[in-house]
Amino acid sequence: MDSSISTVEGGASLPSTGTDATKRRVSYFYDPYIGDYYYGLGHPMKPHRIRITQNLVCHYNLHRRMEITRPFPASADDIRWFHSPDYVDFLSSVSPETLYYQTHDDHDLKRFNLREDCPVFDGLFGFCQASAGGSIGAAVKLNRQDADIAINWAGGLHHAKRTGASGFCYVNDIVLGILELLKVHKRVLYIDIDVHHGDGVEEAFYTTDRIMTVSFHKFGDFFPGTGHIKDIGAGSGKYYALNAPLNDGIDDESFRRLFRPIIQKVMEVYQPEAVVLQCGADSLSGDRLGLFNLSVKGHADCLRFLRSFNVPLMVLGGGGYTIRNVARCWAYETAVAVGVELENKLPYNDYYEYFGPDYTLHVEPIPMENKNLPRDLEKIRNMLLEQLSRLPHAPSVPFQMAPSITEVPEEREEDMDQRPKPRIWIKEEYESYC
Amino acid sequence: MEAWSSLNDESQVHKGNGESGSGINLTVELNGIDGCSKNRLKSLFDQVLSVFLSEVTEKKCLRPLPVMTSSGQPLDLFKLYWIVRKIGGYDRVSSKNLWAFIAEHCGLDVGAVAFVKLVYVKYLAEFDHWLRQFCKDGNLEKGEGGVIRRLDLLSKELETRFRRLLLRRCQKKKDTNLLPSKNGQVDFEMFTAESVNKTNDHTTRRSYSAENRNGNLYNSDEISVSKMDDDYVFLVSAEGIVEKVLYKAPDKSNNEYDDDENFFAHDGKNKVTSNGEVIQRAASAKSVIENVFDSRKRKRESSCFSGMLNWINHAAKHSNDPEIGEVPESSKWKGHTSNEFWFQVLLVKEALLKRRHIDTNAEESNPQKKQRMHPSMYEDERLNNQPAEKLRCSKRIPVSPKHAPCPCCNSCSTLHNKAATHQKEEEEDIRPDLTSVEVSVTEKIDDSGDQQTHPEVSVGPLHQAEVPEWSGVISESDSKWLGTRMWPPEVETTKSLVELDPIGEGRRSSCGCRFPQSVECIRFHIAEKRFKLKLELGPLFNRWRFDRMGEEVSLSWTAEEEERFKDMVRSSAMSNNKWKNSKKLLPSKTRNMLVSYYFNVFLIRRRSYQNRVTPKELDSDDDEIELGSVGDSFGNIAVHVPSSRSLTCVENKASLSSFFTSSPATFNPRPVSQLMSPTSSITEINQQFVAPEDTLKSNFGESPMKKKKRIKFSIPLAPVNKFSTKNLQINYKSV
Repeated sequence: MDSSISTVEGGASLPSTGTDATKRRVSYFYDPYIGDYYYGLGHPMKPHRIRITQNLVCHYNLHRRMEITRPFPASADDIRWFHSPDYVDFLSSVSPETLYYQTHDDHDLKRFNLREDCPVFDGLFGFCQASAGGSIGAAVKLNRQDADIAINWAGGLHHAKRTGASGFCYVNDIVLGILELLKVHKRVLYIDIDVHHGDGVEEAFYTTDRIMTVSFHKFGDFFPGTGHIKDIGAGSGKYYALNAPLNDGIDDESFRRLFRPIIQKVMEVYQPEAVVLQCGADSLSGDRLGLFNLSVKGHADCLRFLRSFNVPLMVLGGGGYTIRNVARCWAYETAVAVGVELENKLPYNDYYEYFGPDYTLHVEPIPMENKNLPRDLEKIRNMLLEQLSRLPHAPSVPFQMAPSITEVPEEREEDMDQRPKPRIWIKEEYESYC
Repeated sequence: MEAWSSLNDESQVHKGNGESGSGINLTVELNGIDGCSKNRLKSLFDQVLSVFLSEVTEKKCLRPLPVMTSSGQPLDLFKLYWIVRKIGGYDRVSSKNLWAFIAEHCGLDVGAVAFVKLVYVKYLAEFDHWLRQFCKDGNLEKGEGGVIRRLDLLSKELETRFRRLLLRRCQKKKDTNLLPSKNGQVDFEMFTAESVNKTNDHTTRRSYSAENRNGNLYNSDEISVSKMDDDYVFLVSAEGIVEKVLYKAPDKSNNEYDDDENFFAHDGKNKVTSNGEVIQRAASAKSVIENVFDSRKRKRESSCFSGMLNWINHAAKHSNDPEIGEVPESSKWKGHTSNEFWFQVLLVKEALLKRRHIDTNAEESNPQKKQRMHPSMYEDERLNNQPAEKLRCSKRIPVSPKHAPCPCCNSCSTLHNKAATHQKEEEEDIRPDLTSVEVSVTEKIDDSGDQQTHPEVSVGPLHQAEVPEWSGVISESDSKWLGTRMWPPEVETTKSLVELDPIGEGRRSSCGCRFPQSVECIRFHIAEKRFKLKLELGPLFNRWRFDRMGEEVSLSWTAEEEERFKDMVRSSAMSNNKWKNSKKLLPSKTRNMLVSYYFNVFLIRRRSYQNRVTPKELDSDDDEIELGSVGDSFGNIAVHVPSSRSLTCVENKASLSSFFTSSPATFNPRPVSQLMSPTSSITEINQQFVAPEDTLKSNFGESPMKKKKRIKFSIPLAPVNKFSTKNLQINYKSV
């Protein structure tokens, strides 16, 4: 894989990570009906973007490098794993018709915040089921070691709270996916590069050290208002929530200089066994709601970097409201996951005209002031690194209790597709400490 | 309408009083307890209560008025309510066992305790709750009946008056404490005089709201039951609250500052924000408040806060007094120190204002949940032709109250118009919600506005997921989650037949088309590519619903239906409801079909047009451009007319969009062999397709517009479109 941003300083320095050139087994979740869901007139969230992405992915022939799965829809019971029962009951029974006939209480609509940002639309629950089913499915794929990277562009709805909807998100597929990952993995790292703070996920895991949440987001007079750098977690989760509050117009270079060292350090200190990356594409330049100035390559660099660590990786969608750019970004990131560089000239595809007038994969960044001064970014970086230095190395790992999975004999290594499993790495870590 | 008209009458009376009757009021006020205003308040109270009881509680049961005591005398509900409220509400009275005290005050004997309590619960508890709730919400619920609305107006006024009265009294008392030489008259004048300056308003409003908000704060321990002197209670509580609010600020902001030492270089009073701006005013405001804080520690009387209040009083009373001096223009403020009263006043005003904005702004009190992600999107989008940048900010920026009338003021403008000016201003300004006391004042002062207002992350079983401890035991997952594997196919059939393009390949830079990049050309290549993909995917092509992607979708639409759809979008673009007539206009189309057509056909055609005619506007516009610009004339003329006239025929009837479809409707039995030999490659087909276009060459002009119109003429080029996929496949297999 020869990309322009292939200098991977970080990943290779970790023990037992492979070189980045190796292939990964990629599992891709796609519900063929996802593009038909429609939030309503003028609503910026358009599931249609996932359909465009799929079209682009297939016209770039990326499907040949992946396993593509139609997710099993998550049931109400599955969703109750995280969400409160009354909320799930409501969500699964409400529809525009029931609202029309007023069989549902306005009070409940208010209580669960199912208005304005989060309207009740046709097929709402089906959409949630597909989204959540994809993320849980992705987790199971990783758990079973059927895949090294699992992608669900319909997931990543990180604002949803336990007891209500928020910010276009109804069911927090990420939390559900992580809960599934936790069945097998001791520690899971969650990284969020959506322009909005990943508040739902942070909140859900605010008090546990089994999940570390790291969010890079626009902060200050911006939805959802949370994500202060001082929000570091609580209880045994203290120090296990990281927030990088950023200002408007951050560009590739600034972002990278912040992202890489922090994630590098997180990987070293926290040693996650699985990573979930929320790739909200509203941090791209020219997004309808976002205020960042990342290019597709800069955005995908996060994925590229994480991929180099060779840890089971779940890649999820999220925000993204200029849909042509969302499709560009996610198609490109799918290519990064499978290890292919895409030609800039888009192949002919069914949504070709969406990408005019250039019809290219990468678009010129918008000239925009970067309001993140280098010294501010440095302060943020230093504060976060300092916070990380307070972490005990690899928590939640009682060393005396090596879980059974680590004793499974290593599979044959000759195949390039077979990456070393992270459990070996933990074991080595353990030995080196002794 | 009875209540409504009486309300108007009422306010007219007030108007009169406010303007001419202040002298009378003054005297009454001076003589002790606000006789006149109390009577006014009482009559208003009675009105509201009776309407409330008859309307709001009508579903439950009837509560007759007036309430008669055992001795046959009517019980003064107003007095009862007044006293209970002053003490701090039902709960407080109950917890302190004060019902006997209350009964006594209502002129009943101690034996009537149960009676009084019962009356309160039956008549007033819900009313009180409603009144406070209403004021907290501040908003008229849509869709509720006119009665409630009228009631709201009434109660609004009632609440306002309550607060004003309360404040007046406590302020008076306070002043007599602080300034023994002055009497209450000053205060009263201060509140009634037309010349009251805005600063006063804000300060007093602050106190109002502080009082109002904090029924509970009456609990402040220093108030003992024995000190039931009304005025004193109010004084202490209101004072305490004002101070409390102010103290809280420095406390909290000090922490903030300490915490952020690493993050923000702060030097003395100057705070460097992340933007690198020095927020000097904020810092000085803070220092003022700190002064208040400190001085209270030393001695309350000497606090500069009281000094400032004195100054306000003085200024209000003698607005022409040269001693007051002039307040410089805002541009010169920075040079002044916080030692000057006017400057302090301004700072406090600013602090209070900001605080209020935030509060009214965060109407729902839980910004985390209720803040809207995209506030503009439900507003009148048709008129909203702004660049995308303006839509981006997710949180509403507080606007000055002068320009942003509160909803209640809108709805009761009649009332307010009739009220005296200062009265109106006060009423407008009093927006009693203010639910979140804990948000500190200084937080709002800081202009950077970001680091300070962030909500805390909620912790508790209602918020966190249940994460089990790591046990080392791996629990199995349901295999259902593996879903349905769709790719790679179980049986590989197509690979050998199709020459596969490399992975990641883009399009070739040139093509053999006569007019590269024309709509025709692109449509052809898309069809070609589509066909290749279909060959590779086999049945998966349909299972992934690629057959429902792109302009292909239009095949199931007739030209007439397409035209109607366009009309519908165009007309409803004006009226804010895109598909309101869809049932009528397109009865055969489900909502899903409409949505699909919109994304797959309508938008593509629009984009296709834009890409050629207005390419420069694309990058700055969002995907919803049609929602913004369609309503204006440009959108209609430039986008709709050409696309709907010229493209329709092309896309629907012509050529290649139906080329590869297997739909029997478009299947034409003409044998393939008429056009190409069985050994033709795709490229050859390509050339054959293009060939007829040559014949039309002379018809094409330069401008893309023209080209598009030409397309109309190029329709006959398509003997080609008579192919069916089936034929081609057979053809290929036979190769």
